[in-house]
Amino acid sequence: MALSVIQAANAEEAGGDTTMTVTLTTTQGSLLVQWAGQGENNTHTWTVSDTAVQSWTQEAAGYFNFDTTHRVKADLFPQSALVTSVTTTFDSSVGASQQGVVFEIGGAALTSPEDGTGVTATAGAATSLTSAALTTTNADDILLYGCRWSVSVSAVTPGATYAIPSNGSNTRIGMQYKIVSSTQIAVTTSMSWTTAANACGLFMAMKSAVPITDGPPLRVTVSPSRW
Amino acid sequence: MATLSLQARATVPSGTTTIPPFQPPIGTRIVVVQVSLADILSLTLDFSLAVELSRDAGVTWMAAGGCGLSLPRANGQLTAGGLRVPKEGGGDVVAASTDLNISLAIPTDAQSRVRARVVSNEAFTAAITGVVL
Repeated sequence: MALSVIQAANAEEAGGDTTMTVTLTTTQGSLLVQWAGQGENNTHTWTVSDTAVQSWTQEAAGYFNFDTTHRVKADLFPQSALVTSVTTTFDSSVGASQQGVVFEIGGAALTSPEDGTGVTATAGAATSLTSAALTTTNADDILLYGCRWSVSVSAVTPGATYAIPSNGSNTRIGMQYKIVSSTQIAVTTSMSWTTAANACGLFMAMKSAVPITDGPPLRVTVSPSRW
Repeated sequence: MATLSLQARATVPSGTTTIPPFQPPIGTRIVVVQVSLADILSLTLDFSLAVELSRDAGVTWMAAGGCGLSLPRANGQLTAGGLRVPKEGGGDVVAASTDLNISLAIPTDAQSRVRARVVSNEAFTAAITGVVL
């Protein structure tokens, strides 16, 4: 099965919540990736689980912040069971809004899917953000670039050759993707929007599943035999 | 942390302006470049800021990150004090600068150089500052 984005879903919670739920019904075996953030401070922590009670793994870059006012990270779970929603639980009530977008990805590696470590970029008072440079080691990857904005924006536009799937963004968070078939050396991408905002961007890569190759053809030799 | 004045407050001409390369301290993982906004009063200004990285002492360059600001599309209010950007919890703040903060996948070494480029559709006045962490 080739890499593909099967679906995306997103959510936004108003301030005062300790949990955020993204609703989507997935198929068994997919890689699930959530890109999420909150705008109260740079200290909140959070964990991600789902209706199959799976404990997600934090993307290798981990948390990063825009000054002291907002914090973001990605989490993932490979070879997931069927889930009907993904829930983010914060360490305490978040006094500002929280946003998350989840991608269901088919054809991804079943274990340790991330190719390297994501690279981060933030910008203050900007209407576009070009990612930091990402280098990969695996040829067949899906590149994911998520941005989160400090205020509501519109006209979110992916970088050239990238796409944002249906429900892959809302006014405060979004993620775009591109499927590649060769290793990437110091590549960047960008996303743009209207309204000057403080923005955080994470650029990461997930590996394709190793294809199952056929073994050598079975040769059967029948020799005459006698009873 | 090292802070460098890449360009003192001066006119940035329209078109492409390259901020000369500098050698960051070995082991730098974060590069921050700031373009001040306090002197910008034009609502028709578009500018982008790109940071480029060389790993061979400036022979070849690759993109390392960037950002842009298109004022006409901003809901933020531009005043003599700078661009007003809405805050997360309501209200707004004056953004003193457009700040770009990028992570480097591999820390810098003795051969690493960093330079910045500003592309604008009209001349504007700004100071450009770099910080390496």
